[in-house]
Amino acid sequence: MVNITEKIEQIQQELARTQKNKATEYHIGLLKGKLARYRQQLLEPGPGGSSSAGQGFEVAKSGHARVALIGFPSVGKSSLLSKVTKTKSEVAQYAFTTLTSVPGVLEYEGAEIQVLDLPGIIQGASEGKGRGRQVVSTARTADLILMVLDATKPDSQRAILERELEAVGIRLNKERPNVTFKLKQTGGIKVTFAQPPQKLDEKMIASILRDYRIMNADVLVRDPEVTVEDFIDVINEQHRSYIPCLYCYNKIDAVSLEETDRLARQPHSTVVSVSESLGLQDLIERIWEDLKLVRVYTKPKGSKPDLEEPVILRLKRSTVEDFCNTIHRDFKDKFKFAMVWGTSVKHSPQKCGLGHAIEDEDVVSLFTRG
Amino acid sequence: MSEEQREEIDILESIYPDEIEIHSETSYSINLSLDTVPTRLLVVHVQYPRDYPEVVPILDIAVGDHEQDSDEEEEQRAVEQPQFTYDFTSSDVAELKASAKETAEENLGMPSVFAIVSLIKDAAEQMYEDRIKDMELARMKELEIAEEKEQAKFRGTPVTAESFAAWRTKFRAEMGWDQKKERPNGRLSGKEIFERGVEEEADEEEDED
Repeated sequence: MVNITEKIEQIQQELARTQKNKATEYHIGLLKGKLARYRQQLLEPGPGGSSSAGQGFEVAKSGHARVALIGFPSVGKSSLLSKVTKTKSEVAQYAFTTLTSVPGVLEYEGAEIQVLDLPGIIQGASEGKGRGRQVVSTARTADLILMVLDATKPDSQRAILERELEAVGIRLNKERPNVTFKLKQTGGIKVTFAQPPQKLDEKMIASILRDYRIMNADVLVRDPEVTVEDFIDVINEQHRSYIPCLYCYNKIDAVSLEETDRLARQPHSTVVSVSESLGLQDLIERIWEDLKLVRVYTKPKGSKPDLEEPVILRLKRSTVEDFCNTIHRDFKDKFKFAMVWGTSVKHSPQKCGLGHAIEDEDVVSLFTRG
Repeated sequence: MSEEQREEIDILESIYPDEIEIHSETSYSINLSLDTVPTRLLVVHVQYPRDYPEVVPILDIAVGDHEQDSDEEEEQRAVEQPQFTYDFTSSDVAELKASAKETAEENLGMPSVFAIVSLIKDAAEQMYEDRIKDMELARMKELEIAEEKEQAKFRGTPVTAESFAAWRTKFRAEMGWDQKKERPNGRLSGKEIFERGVEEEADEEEDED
């Protein structure tokens, strides 16, 4: 097997030396496409290799959502985990403590949120080193990435982690590019732009697709701001994860209040001191908000609703039908209508069908046939 | 061509046997290797007007390519890698030319090329040294500023439980995080409706049955 790491390095070097201008634009685009392909190969277990390699690390998903902690060693991930979750993970006051993934459960507003501490950082994962691959595959399954940073360290720490995640196909706080890409059997490459593109053109798309040995495909670019990188992400769709990320700056007790204020104002950021127990409640609130979970309270016919134990749904899958499915897989077959109290309806209560989208803190009564 | 001019060229040829290039009876150039790391080259073109040395010579200075004796240069580099290198700009050359012209005028009436060339070499070397020093100073300043900036975050109001709490209250108010429970039109969430006991019963169930 040709060493992919070397190939990646070669491309990176070439990218670094190639001057960016109109003439080299296509070449750079092609190189980026190749880079994405090789990186992908690196993350996939080799043919005939130990196919169970990814399983050893995998932690069973439990609770309503999963949060993955990512950060450099000794930024306090384990201490944070033990402060905010029920499960006590072993914390030692020295570096490189976490060697295996220890899940903790954060209980908030009736929801159980699984919090995973990933071993060390994923640095080197993009080069296929060590257990990086498994760490990456676990990180991908997270509903939220909590990047734990050290407030006393320079901003570059964050950039390093972001670059690593970027290299393994994880996109933080980013929407999937608005591009439809359909593989075809015949017909060649057909590219349509809904609006004149600002950063792409047909030739670029065609040459990248050719490099991927894709001869027949329909491409519809809706957003004029789509970049070459975005397009490459679309081709590698199944290996890309778009995950919200919350940046948690720890150790604020070691910096000034002014610096704390500055950090808190960064986008998607929150500040804590795990050792002094500062800002932890705010952190939990922010996690809850970023997970965008929906609490639904069930109300049995003719009696008060149970306001203690909500059913937890995802915002993206929170119709009355999804709610039925949490009760029983066959429940929706008996479904007649639902009465809904709350912000999702104009007047409370309102009669709703299966397709109605429920909002947070709605109270729902289900009516069945027979 | 006057005797004085010929004589001066003879002398220069013996001073700069390897560096001089004769173009015609009255024009030549001298390739100056400066004592800098890495070596920088300057080419001084000299042309004698008919009445030289009664009038000043026509001088031009150009920056030479430093490809010559690359072996030696490589070696030198290996020995001592300077942190900064500098390439003369056109304004540097203009400055050198101006001082060369001054010297030429001071020496009016006698052959002056050697004096001029020596002056150019000294001035250029001095200039190179100064420029490098400026760059070093600028870099040091940059580092200092960066370090200062990095250190600044450790100075100021200390973060304590009290100061943090005060900051937090202000910050949350500024971000409007504590008001978000209030929804437009004073609409209540389903939970709030039941908590406040203001719910209307689902009387439709009788209708439908």
